[in-house]
Amino acid sequence: MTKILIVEDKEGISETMAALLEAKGYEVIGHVGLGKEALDILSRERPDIVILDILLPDMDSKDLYNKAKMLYPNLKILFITSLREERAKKIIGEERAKEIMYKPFNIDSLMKRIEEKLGNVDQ
Amino acid sequence: MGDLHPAATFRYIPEKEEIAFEIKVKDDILPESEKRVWVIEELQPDFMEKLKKFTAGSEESGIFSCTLLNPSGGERGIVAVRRDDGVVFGEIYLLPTGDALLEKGKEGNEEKKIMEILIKEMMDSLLYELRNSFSHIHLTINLIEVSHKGKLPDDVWKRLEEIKEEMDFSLKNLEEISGRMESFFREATLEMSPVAVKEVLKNAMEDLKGVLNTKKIKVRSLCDIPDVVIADRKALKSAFQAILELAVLKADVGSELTILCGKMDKETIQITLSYVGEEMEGEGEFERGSGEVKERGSEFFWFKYNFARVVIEKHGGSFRVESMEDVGSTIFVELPVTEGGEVR
Repeated sequence: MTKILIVEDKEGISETMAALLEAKGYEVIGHVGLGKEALDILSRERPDIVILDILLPDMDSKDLYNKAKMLYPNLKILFITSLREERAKKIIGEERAKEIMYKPFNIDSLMKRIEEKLGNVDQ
Repeated sequence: MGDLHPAATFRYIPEKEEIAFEIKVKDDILPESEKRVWVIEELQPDFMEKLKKFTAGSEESGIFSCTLLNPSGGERGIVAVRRDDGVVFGEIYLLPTGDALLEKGKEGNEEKKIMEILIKEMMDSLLYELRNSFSHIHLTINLIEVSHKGKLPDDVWKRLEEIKEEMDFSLKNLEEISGRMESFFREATLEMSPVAVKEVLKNAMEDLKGVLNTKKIKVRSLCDIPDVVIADRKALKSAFQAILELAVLKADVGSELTILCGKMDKETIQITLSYVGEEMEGEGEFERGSGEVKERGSEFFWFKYNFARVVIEKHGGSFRVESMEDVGSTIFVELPVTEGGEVR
């Protein structure tokens, strides 16, 4: 079963996403709102993919990305954001632009992106 | 600029056709150097014409605009009048001089820039919240679909689908509005389009015929270029006019202005305007606040020069003056042929 960690400070979105993904057969190992909490989970457990909001209240999402990649170089990370494209790219860098999923999205498009990231379907 | 104060007040006695001024010039209305004694001969005819028209009427008070002679050139004023016991009392408000206008223009640009930033921030913030909320709603509807599949009537499913579509539609609309608002503030300053240099220059000269005739100045123009630049037609014409006016102001009576246009290279047009007369002293002459205003008209000169320079630079071009003592000056304007510069 695919293990997912959700890092999203909007509690409602985070909870709904977790419930939906579990209903669709994924294992959500955690849904947290802070980067620090995410690192805590990552130090104990290795997910297959992290769904990471670009704007976090306690740390730069790029830092969290780098730290997570240091722990698990092959870890898949999917950025999500409500920011406009140009600003989102500015924050995480142009080279990671393809890893961003823009809100609003629904469960089908989210699942499609997850599967693409995991290499289960063609991108 | 401070509040508007009357530059002068006056009393007019119609029976005697006598007018007496009291000068109340404020520094923020006119530069110190322009303080002057106003005498009736200095006022343009339309002032007296309008004052007499008011006097002949029966209204208690009135307001009219008119041309008021100003050494800085072409100034307009607003005159407020009221009658009392057969005497007309008036206040003259001068509209900003060239210098003040430029300051006002800068303020306007600054305000527009602030407005642009404010609008962008507000729209970004609104769209950010909406995208989050809509995402939440989308996912919640998805959750209802997953957990209540087959348990809700068809019209509920239909309505949920409609809500999703309406949200997507309204968000798209709002994003478009946001884009349009931003582009308005970004592009309102200049309206860029392909413009034939030769034609704009010709129009600028036509509008200055009166001034040229007054000083009996002849124009020799060798501008037979077909090239087109991307420019704001009105702004470019005004800049050319300003350059011509600068030259006319300094040129000797009865002299000749020579205008040459040509290509410097594949991408640049050069326009040169040479005259014989009092040379332009260089940048120092045009620097605002570089000292006391030495002569009448220097504020006007500074304004025209800087206006032309700013417009040319905004079109991605350059503007400079070369002078020879006791001979005259040449103004060089360079413009990119195919591409405009900064559009903002």
